[in-house]
Amino acid sequence: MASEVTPELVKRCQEGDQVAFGEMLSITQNSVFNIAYRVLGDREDAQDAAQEAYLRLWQGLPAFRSESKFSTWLYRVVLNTCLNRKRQLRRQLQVVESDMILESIQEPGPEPLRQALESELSGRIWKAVESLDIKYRLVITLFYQEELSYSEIAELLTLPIGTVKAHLNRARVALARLLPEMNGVT
Amino acid sequence: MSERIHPVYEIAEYVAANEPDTPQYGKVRQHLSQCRACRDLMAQLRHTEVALRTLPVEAASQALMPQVVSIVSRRQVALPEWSFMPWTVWVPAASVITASMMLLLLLPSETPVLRNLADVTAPILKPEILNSWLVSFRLHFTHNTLVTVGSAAAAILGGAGFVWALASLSPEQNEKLDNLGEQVADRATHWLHLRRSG
Repeated sequence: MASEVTPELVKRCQEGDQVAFGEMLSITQNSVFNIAYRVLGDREDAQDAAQEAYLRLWQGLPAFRSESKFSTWLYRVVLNTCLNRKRQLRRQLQVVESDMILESIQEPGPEPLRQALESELSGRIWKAVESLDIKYRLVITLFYQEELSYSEIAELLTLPIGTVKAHLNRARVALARLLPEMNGVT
Repeated sequence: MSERIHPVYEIAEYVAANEPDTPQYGKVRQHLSQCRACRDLMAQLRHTEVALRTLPVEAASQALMPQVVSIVSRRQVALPEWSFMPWTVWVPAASVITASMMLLLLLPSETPVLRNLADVTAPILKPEILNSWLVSFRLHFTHNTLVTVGSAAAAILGGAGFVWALASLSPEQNEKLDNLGEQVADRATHWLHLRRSG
């Protein structure tokens, strides 16, 4: 996880130490790839985006002045790299859907969301998450997998905290409403 | 279940916050004590929460690290030299200040925009001062040539300083600027679209 990168390691990277950069890469690569994959939805695209993000990071490292946490900067670089490939997502993130639209998430009929709910609970929830809109996937990934706080996500996505909470709560409710379909989960 | 009657999103947040016994969620707890449908939803939210907290991270391919390290090893990184004020700051700042000074010297005090400020700016806004200074270097310009050449020089100098300042932004500032630019472009596109659609 990116938060495990120590300031000493960042300093060594800034000094051009490629071994340190390799260490940093091995610590963060799964987080970086995971975010890219959740946004882009394709392993190959995610691999390209992660590679591009690391190169941007390497080029920017000498000028990194620790004004923000390294992990926040890393996530921002990755997200901007991904958002440049999914330009429409940036505007979608600002929009908090009405309850009517959420109803359509709740009752998708025989579409992939419901079809996905066929194995173990965790796996089923995960499949359901993959079927959600990108913006919901992104906030879920940042909150539950990268363990960022509401305010950190808000800062990262340059959104009001209220919007971040609204996206997360809508996703939670949409997913929870699918549970009755999974008999015997308790 | 209507979100307008049942506080489903507040319940989702309450469950995610580990159901704290704080006044913030007092109304939520009160509603839950009276609403069976919401208690059922809460039970579902608890299961969802547990499942979400154990979601597996999609692992990067084994090839990612060697690829990046191999590209990086071919690139040299210039170490930043420490100084009291980096040249990337003072050179652009000096050029913008010089350009502003030049424009101030070139603008005649009769300029309509500046007329109200004439009393304050009159001693500064005199191209003659600049011209007399140039004459001492045996350079003779007519008033119009001086204004044209001087304005162009000021614009080039100021523009170069501004561009240099942008190029010297830190990665964090660059990322924020990128973000801002994208948002402005998106808003502009959205606005144009709304205007066209009537």
